Amino acid sequence: MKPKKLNLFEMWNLYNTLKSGIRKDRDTYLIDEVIYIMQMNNSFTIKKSIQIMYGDSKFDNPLDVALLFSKGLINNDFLAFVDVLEGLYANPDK
Amino acid sequence: MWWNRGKSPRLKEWIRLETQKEKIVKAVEGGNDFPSELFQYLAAFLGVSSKQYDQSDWTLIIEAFYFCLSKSPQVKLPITTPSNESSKEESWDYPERNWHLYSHLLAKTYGWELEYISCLQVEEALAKIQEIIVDDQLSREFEYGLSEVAYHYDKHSKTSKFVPLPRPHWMRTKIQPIKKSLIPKALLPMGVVIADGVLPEDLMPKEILH
Repeated sequence: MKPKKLNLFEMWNLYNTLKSGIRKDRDTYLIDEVIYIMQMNNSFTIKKSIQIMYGDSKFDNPLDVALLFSKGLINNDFLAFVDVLEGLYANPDK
Repeated sequence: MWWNRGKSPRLKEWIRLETQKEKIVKAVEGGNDFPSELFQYLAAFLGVSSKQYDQSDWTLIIEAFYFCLSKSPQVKLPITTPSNESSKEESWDYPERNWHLYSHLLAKTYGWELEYISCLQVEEALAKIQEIIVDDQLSREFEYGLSEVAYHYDKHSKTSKFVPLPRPHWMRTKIQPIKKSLIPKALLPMGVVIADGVLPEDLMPKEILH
């Protein structure tokens, strides 16, 4: 398991993997948003995301996968990264 | 910290950084290699090779990027106001053209050397560039006004009408906000008026409010 937060290359890779499941209007609670991203992605992209976040992992139990996935997104501030990208795109001067 | 080295850039450096910033935004839009473009920006600003920090936590890198942006000169001139018009790419464009274009304008007008121009303060240089473009535009407008091309003949009224030469967006007259005015009571409908949420309170006639 990776000890620290992801670097920029890994975050960009993660963002491109999960991009299709990200919406503009956020839910009030972070966990709801993470669940939404999980629902919008298939098992292949979720496993790929876990691989990016933790390296090789041998979890097949769906509950473990869901827990790892949501914990990884929260620990790496994934939605903050999405906000940074959206901010850059909308107003690069601020 | 390693990012304390960032200093406010001068004209040539600033143009290079702004061009790199555009590349970063394009990379975000197009799904290209955003991290590499961002590392190039940081390397140019801080003068430190990205190999020294490219494996750092992403939050540190983004913090460093915003730090660099905050150190970059904030120019508030009409010429730098953002426009909704999309800039079209010319067939004679090439990478790093902005520097050559700006330095050419300044060198042609003031006879300054490239070395001197590259070290100018950004705001001063851009103010001078704006004056050069305004001068050029006004003299072109004058010449244009003397030619027949500026007057379009209208068949219906059988007169010629002056069509002004288009100006850059930052030279156009600013649109004034619409002045708020009260609606006269006489213009309101008769009888019971249900006006909840129709107009803001400051525009409502007093008779309806109370």
